[in-house]
Amino acid sequence: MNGWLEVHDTTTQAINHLLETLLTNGVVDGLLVPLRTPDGRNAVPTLVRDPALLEQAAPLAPVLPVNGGTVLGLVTATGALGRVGAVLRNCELRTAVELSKVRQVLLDDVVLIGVDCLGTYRVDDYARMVEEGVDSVAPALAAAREGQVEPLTGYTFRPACTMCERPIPGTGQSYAPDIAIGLLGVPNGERLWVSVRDGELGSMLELEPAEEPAARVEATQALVAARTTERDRRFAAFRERIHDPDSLLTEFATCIRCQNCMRVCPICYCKECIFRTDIFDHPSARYWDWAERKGGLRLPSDTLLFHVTRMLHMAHACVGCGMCSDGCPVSIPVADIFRAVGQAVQERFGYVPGRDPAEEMVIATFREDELRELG
Amino acid sequence: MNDEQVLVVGAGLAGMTAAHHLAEWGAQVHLVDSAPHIGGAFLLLDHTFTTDSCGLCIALPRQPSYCPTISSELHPHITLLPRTTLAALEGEPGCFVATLHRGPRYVDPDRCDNCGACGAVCPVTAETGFFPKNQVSLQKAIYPPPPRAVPFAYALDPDACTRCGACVAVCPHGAIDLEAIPQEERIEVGAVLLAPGFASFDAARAVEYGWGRCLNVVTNIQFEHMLNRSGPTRGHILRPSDGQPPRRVAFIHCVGSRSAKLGRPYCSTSCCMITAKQARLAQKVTPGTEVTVFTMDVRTAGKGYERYFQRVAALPGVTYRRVMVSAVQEVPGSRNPRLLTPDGEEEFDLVVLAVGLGPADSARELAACAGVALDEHGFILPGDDGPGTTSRPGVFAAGAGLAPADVPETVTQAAAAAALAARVLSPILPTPSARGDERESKVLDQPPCIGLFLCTCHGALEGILDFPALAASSEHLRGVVHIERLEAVCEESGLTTIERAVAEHGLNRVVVAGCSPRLYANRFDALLARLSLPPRLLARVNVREGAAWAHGSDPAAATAVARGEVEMAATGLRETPYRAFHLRPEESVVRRVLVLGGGLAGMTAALTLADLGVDCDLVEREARLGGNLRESHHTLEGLDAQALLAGMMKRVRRAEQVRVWTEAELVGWSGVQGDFTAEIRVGNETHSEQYGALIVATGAEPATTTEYLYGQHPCVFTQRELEQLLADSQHPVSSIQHPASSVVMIQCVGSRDEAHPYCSRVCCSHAIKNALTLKHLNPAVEVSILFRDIRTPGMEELYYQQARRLGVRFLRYEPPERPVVEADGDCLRVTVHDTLYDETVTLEADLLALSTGIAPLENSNRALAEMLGVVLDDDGFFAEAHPKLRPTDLARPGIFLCGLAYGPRFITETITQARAAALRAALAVARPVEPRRDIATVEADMCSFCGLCVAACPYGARVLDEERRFARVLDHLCQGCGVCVAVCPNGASRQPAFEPVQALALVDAALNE
Amino acid sequence: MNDEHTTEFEPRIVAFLCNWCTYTGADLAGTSRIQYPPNIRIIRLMCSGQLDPIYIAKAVLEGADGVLIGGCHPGDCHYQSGNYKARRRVAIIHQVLEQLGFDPDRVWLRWISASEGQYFADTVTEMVATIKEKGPSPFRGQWSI
Repeated sequence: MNGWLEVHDTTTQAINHLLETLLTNGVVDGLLVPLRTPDGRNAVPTLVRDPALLEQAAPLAPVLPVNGGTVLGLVTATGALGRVGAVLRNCELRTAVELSKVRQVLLDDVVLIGVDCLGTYRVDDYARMVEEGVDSVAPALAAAREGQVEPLTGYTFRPACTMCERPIPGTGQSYAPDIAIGLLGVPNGERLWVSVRDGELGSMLELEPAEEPAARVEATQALVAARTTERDRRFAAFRERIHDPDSLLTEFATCIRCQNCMRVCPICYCKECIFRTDIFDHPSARYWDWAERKGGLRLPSDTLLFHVTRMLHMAHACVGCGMCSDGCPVSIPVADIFRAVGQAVQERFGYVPGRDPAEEMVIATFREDELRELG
Repeated sequence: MNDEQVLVVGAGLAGMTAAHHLAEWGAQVHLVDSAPHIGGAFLLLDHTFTTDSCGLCIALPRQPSYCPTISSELHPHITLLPRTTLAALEGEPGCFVATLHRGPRYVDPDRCDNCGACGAVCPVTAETGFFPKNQVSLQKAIYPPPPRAVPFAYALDPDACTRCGACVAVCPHGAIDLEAIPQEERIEVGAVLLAPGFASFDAARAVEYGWGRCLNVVTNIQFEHMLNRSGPTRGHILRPSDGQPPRRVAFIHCVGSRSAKLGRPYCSTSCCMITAKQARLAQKVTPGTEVTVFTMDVRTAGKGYERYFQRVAALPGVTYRRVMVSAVQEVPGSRNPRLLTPDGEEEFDLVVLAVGLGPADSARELAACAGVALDEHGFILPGDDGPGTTSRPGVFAAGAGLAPADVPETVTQAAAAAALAARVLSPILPTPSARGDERESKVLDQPPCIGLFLCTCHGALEGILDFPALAASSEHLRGVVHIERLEAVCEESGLTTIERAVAEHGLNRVVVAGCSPRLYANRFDALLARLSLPPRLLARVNVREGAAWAHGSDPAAATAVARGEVEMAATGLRETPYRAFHLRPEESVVRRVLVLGGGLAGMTAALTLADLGVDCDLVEREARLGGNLRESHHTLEGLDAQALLAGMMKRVRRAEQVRVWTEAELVGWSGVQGDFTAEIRVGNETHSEQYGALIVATGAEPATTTEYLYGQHPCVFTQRELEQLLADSQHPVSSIQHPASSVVMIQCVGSRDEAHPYCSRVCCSHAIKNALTLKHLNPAVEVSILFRDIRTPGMEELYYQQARRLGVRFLRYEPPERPVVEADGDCLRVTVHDTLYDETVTLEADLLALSTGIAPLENSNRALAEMLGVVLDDDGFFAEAHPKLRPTDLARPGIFLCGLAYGPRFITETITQARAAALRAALAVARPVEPRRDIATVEADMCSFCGLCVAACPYGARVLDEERRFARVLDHLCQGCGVCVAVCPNGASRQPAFEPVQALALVDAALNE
Repeated sequence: MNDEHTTEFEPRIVAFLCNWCTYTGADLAGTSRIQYPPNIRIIRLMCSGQLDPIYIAKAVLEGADGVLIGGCHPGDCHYQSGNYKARRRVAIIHQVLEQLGFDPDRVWLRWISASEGQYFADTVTEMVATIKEKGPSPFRGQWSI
């Protein structure tokens, strides 16, 4: 069911009011929603039980300190104490869908609430904005009304966002959330475009049923087209840049082996990464062996093996959230690389991460009649 | 003890299967075959229907298994005696004395290493018998073994050999002895099992088809051999005349079957399916091949066969023609075969004759020596106790030597015969094998001290590999502290040398460089026990097959390869992590079997179990035992079904080890093999019982119909109803006593159609049985049977011929044109278009009998399948674990299947299948399932509970432990394949037998120069 | 460094062979004295499905000129379905390696049954010839890896 939700004050407050309704009516027992930190310089996912706290909710704060899919996993995987309503960007939604396939998120008792993503900034950029008194939400909403998504002057979006072709929940083969709040291509200062899967919920929220406005459809298409172009441009640049081992090693020459990319990646769900286990605790003698064979050995070892293995393990499910690039202290464009590699793997199998919780992961299944070209 | 010994004569599929079952049971098995290798006809085959794959390994009792031909060599309870025949058999069940004629093998398999020097100098070339006259596979009088042969050594054809002795002179191992003479050996056994197999009909006798005269006419066996990837044409179909792939292939059915003139009046059962498979594969191997099958009936009555046939018949380019070929001629020049049929002349590129299967050439002699009776065709006659027995107590039989049989029937018969033989033997309590993985803790804390032992294979490898160089280059390998060269590691002297060196030098890891690690597994297992080393600290390096032999033309290269592989193994061992690994101690198993269903199948299974000394519960839903057998009166062969029923029920009631529950239902089921829990409801009470295994024998029901006025007209019956009427002497069906009375029967009512695509197998025989009874009651009665195919397999064919001789009319109809039945007062009028004469016929019938077939118990099957965690097939019957080689197993370990619950069966087939299922169930509860040494484990604190391993495991050996939040391995189900280890992203799932650290070290070492 | 297509280049190929099929087929080649180039080093796995993709990554990064994975024909896997999983993994590896600028045609997946000794030898011969054409692996001797 689709329809309009009236905005009586600000857009943020309208959304918060919706969330409050869910909580006070018992549709959910808790909310997972970004809240402004007391100092205001960050907006962090918070599990909220007290509706009063929703005053500080900042669902539109354009910052992504952590992938909400991972956080949703924290509060559901080993026994939630109630139903949670999770406010998520589309990349986080798709993450949640992927993680549900490996039991890291349990979606049984979750109300997924998607919001149009109007772009995010790096955490430190966002903090600076706040310190400088810049309002990041109002301009974004204004642009969105006109069907535009642009960063504030003097700032840039996170690199992953500029090539994200799935910012609108439920589109681009993304799993449709229970509630989707639309901001793009609608008069978002007066009314919000809301889609709900459950008609009863729609009635409860007092949505005014309507058809999706043409302006929104057009704006979405245009945005997706632009992002896709940028995505393809970045992929092409990557593939031109990396075309042999030398160029590959150049790309990772500055890698300092902090493994942050793995730590912040939501698809890397392992309790302990294989590269942190004793399998890679080489006895000293082995380093001498390798140095002997190759003439020398870069230390710590297994830099490239770490990245390649990570690709082999998770590229098929990469949702392009870009946490990895955020986390890299030496600015290696990890998200570009992993998305490009991920695209090749996903296309080979016709797999779209985040499309359907019932769809098995590439590495979890097989068909007898496939890949005949391989044998 | 001679009553723990068994003699199995014939080591083909039936013989090997029976031998393995008996060996698992604990008997010492002497497995004898007249050929120089075991394997029988199965060595020829590659693709078997309906899976179109080999999978012979799946025929064995324990899964997963290695090829039974190879396993026969490895199983400690099986002694192989090739080139051996039975000469005489004296004594009684329990104490036979068998005289074996041990023909000389001439080539000693223990010494021959297949170097081929003998074949190179042998002056005699002979046809192999597969392809006569300038064909693709000629062989010398001394010839190499087929790829999977056991023993795997050269063999000599004594008839072709001229005894020139050239081979003896060149053999580097002295393996050939042309002077060898036959020996006689007497062994004492408790039981004997005959599995002589079959021989193909000699196609030359069907003179009109031109085999032997026309080059491009081959038999289906020859065609099969061409399809074999390791056969003479490497899997390609090629015309014998010019080696080109044929574009137009014709198959001719029933060559040497269903022919009284040729002395082969019976049906060979399998040929129709063989043709269908070969038609399909012909197109797969050479796309675009046009296939025409000339046939009268298509007899695809087995489980899943009708579907297979329909799929093949629907393939573009495949045509089935209901017409017989009168002759085949050869076109000069092209040498194409030209077929003559009533439709005219047609030219093809290749003709395949579906030749029938008959008794083996040696059958008569074997029967005479064994003292068993044969029927007039040369097949072994069953004895008093039904299928699998012979005329001589204590001597049993299985396989195609009883009657032509396909693979599932053969395998089932073999297990059933093994059950019968096991009954005769004294009760054998299998002993659990020795354990001892506590050895591991001794060596864990020590730095690696590797001993390297280089085997020269009796000096044979010294001519190729540079052993001094090998030793020298290994000295620098870190961790290697001892290097020694040995003549023969596999022999006692070699093993003892290693043992001494380990003790003397404090070695805690051993590398043995010699032959392939696949060989002599038993001896190295024993060595490990003596060394107190866990298996993963002994590495065997393949420097013989993998280096010396494969690169023998370049000894320097061969040595380099050997050096590289030794380095890899040593490095791998050195990097093997220090980690404790203890197998869980064996758990006990519940030695009681639940048999679900008290019909013929259930009762037979229960009685067999009791005979094998295994307790069982027989649970029947109704108030009386007997199931469908209660409605049967006699079979075509004259078996008195009611007498059988009465006898069985009496024996069941008397059997102390069988506890009978009637009006009881299974309402709950959980657990694993050896430890199942069942909830059985009787009335208002539910009882909880423990079992080690389950046999599903829940039966099926007669299908009903609304077609052809059934239920609307008083003269329309099902075949079963007709059988009841004919048997009921109190109320004879008066209408048929009239001299001019007429009975019409319609076959395939509600079978082989869209709603029920399967064939119910028994209806044609059933109809003919009733027809013969009618004729017996009143020879003047007119009986007309309207059919699509008459499916009377094997000896049932003879009754079909008898019915025709007695004047029963057979009219063939073909859908979509079905017979039309109209009421005509008290009678009926049946109109049918007879396709054989292409005319429409109207018949007046006083009685109409409909062959409606057998239907699964849809609702209860579905509920039961869900309860057990198994699946049903497309037709609603229970789906067996493997359609060819495990027809009595369901996919869940410990659950077995027999009777109509499997699918439509004849009575004798049900009995055989029930006995087979009972033996397999008995084996399942005979001893606790030992966890294998190479099973997987899980580091619980590393496990992320993602479940990828659970999805990956094909054996259901992984479960998610919700409480402790990790993926647990079910030890006794794990087969050690390692798929779960490969899918686990961080190594929480691991296999102590093969750790990632080891693997990565091997990869590394492989890339050293 | 990478264009030494001289006659001295001898490829080094790491082979992962499944125990039941391909390894046995390799043995058969040896037993039948069928010669094949001595450029492969064999690692025996119980099943092609036991192949962890990290082993292939390691082989490639350590400079293997080629990697051969041998398993049972589809439908014939001794452990039911291991070869299907191996096939998927190889498809993923091919994509990843190709994206990273490494020729995926240096990693071969072949179904070779236990009785196909000749086919095994032919495969190795073909692979060595193909790899010789391509030249040494560009990862050979890379120390900053």
